[in-house]
Formats: sequence, C-alpha cells, structure tokens
Amino acid sequence: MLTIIVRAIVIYILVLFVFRLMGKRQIGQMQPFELVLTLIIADLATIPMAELSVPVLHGIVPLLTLVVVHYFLTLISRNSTKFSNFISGKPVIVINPKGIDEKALRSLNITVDDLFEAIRGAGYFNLEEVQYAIMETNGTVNVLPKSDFSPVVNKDLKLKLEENSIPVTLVSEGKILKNNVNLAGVDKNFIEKFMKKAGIEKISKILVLTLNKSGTVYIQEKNKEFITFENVEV
Amino acid sequence: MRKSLISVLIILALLTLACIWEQISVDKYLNDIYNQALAIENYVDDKEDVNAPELQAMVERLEASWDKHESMLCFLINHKDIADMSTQITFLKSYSETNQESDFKAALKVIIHYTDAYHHVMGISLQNLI
Repeated sequence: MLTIIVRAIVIYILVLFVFRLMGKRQIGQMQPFELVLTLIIADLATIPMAELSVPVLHGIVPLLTLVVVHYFLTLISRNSTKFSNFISGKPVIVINPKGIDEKALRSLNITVDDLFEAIRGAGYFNLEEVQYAIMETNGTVNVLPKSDFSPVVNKDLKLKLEENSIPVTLVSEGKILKNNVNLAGVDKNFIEKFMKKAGIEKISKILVLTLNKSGTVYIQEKNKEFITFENVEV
Repeated sequence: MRKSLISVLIILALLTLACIWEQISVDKYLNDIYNQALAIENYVDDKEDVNAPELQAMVERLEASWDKHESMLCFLINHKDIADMSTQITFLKSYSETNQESDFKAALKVIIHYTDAYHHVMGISLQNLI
C-alpha cells in the first residue's frame, strides 16, 4: 500500500510539472490534438500507479517524451506559419455575406445544425444578424454581426468616460500581497489606516482589500459586508 | 519561454541518459546471466550430472549475480518478469540439490529464454519499432 502512495505522489508531482510546462490553455482553447495529448498523458500517468509490476520509469519516460515532442512542435509552430497551419489548420469562414458556405462546412465535416448550435452559443439566434462566422482552429465559432445588429458602445454615443483600471489586491485572506502593495505605491500604514476606518482590528481578519486607479478602496472583513472608500489619495 | 526551454532541454538530456543507461546496463547484466546459464547448459550436456559440486557452484554464482543486479533491474524491467526469473533461478538451485535432471534442464531453458528474449523485446530493432 505504501508503494502505491509513494508512486501516486511521484506521478502527481510529475503530472503537475508536465501540465505547467505545457502552458495554461483551458480545455476549450485547446487544439484537438492537444486535447488528445492531455488524455494520453492522463492515461499514461495511471499505468505505473495502478500496476505495481510496471516500473515507474516506464510511465515517466513516455510522458516526458510526449512533453518534449509537444514543446518542440509548439516552438516550430510559433516560428513557422506553414507548419502551424499544417498542425492546427487555418480558421475557416463558414458564413459570409452571401450566406452559409457549404463547401467550408463539408471540409470541416460539420452539419448546418452544428453551425446553428455554435452561432447560438455565440449569442446570435438569427442567421440574418451574422455578417461573418469563423470557425477557429480550436473548434469555436466567432461571429461578426451585421452593423444593424452590433451592440451599441460608448463610442457610438460619443460619451467620454474615464478609462477603467484593474483594482490591485493589497490584502487577500488576511495576507498582505507585498508585490501588489509596491505596485500600487502604498505601504502597510495605508492598509492599517483603512483597516481602522472599517473597524477591523487585525490584518488577519481582512478577507480582501483592493485599490483601483480612480482611488476607490474596497475592504471586506471576514464574514462581514464590504465597505468602500471613494476618492482616496495615494 | 527561456525557463521552459531550459526545462525541456534538461528533460531531453535526462531521457537520453536514461536510454543509454538502460541499453548498457540491461544488456550487460542480462548478457552476464545468459552467458552463465549457457555455461551451465554446456556443463550439463557434457557431464550429465546436475548434482556435481562444480555445477552447484556455478548455479550459486548465477544466483549471486542475479541477486546483485536484481534491484537495479527493477528500475527498468517489468517486476513480474524479474520475479519469474528469480523463481526459476531458485528452482534451478533446488533441482540441482535434489538431482532432478529433467526439471533442472527445463528451468535452465526458461532462464536462457528470458534473458535472450528480453533483447528481442526491448532492444532497438525495426520489429520492435513497428
């Protein structure tokens, strides 16, 4: 039993390392062959875990070999468009201003129903709303709507708004994030000042404290409601 | 990018080393066992006495060699095959002590077959690649 536990830990660490090395793509963003590769890796990893007569090396070696091959394929794909097209294919226009491109559908081996499903997934329920629909190499369909059906944006209304900014998290679950504190150009006193204002005794009791560019501090104590402070000077 | 490239190159180097280590060590140790088993077979064919002290000494040497390399071979060979080999070598010793010639020869054939077949199964050859 102990052997199984140790093997499971070794394989777990290895798989973790392998997936970190392969990048952070989510399942929906993967190319079909990347998805298959992920499944193969998962399958390979279970063999030495479940079968004690198989040396761990027999599980590790093919797993690492696949990672190395995949890494170099990705590296070549990044530097060569031709190779990238060969490996991942090209995005295909499936709907153009003339309508559905049947030839493209046949080449992609998808039906009109599949196309409708994908378009509905993109938020368009009527074909006449679609100017272009493109099937990406990872299988998702992106839609460019006709101008009449495009959502109105601030620019259309000629509104002048301040640019949004990403709030910087200064404290998360009672821990000061030093890098973020430096990035925001504040210090511990700044955090303590708002902690006192919010009536929080200790930093460890803060669930989250964020600061954005427009000077809004959002602070929430654990198991309590949040409080905001506007126009804070940094 | 640079970090991952270095990691991949390290993995590649480790894989290469593992392959070379496997080829050299498994070849060397299994050849050693194979040659010793062949020597025992020749001795038995010549003398037709499986209880001779000289033969028993040869079998003990074979067992000692196997015991010495067994733990290292566990890294590279299926443990079931290793257990089978160990069993056959133990049988060999027992048959020699109890003077069971036909069983002795049969166990010896199995050992020779295992060590010889492993090269065919795991070695680099076109048949194995396809």
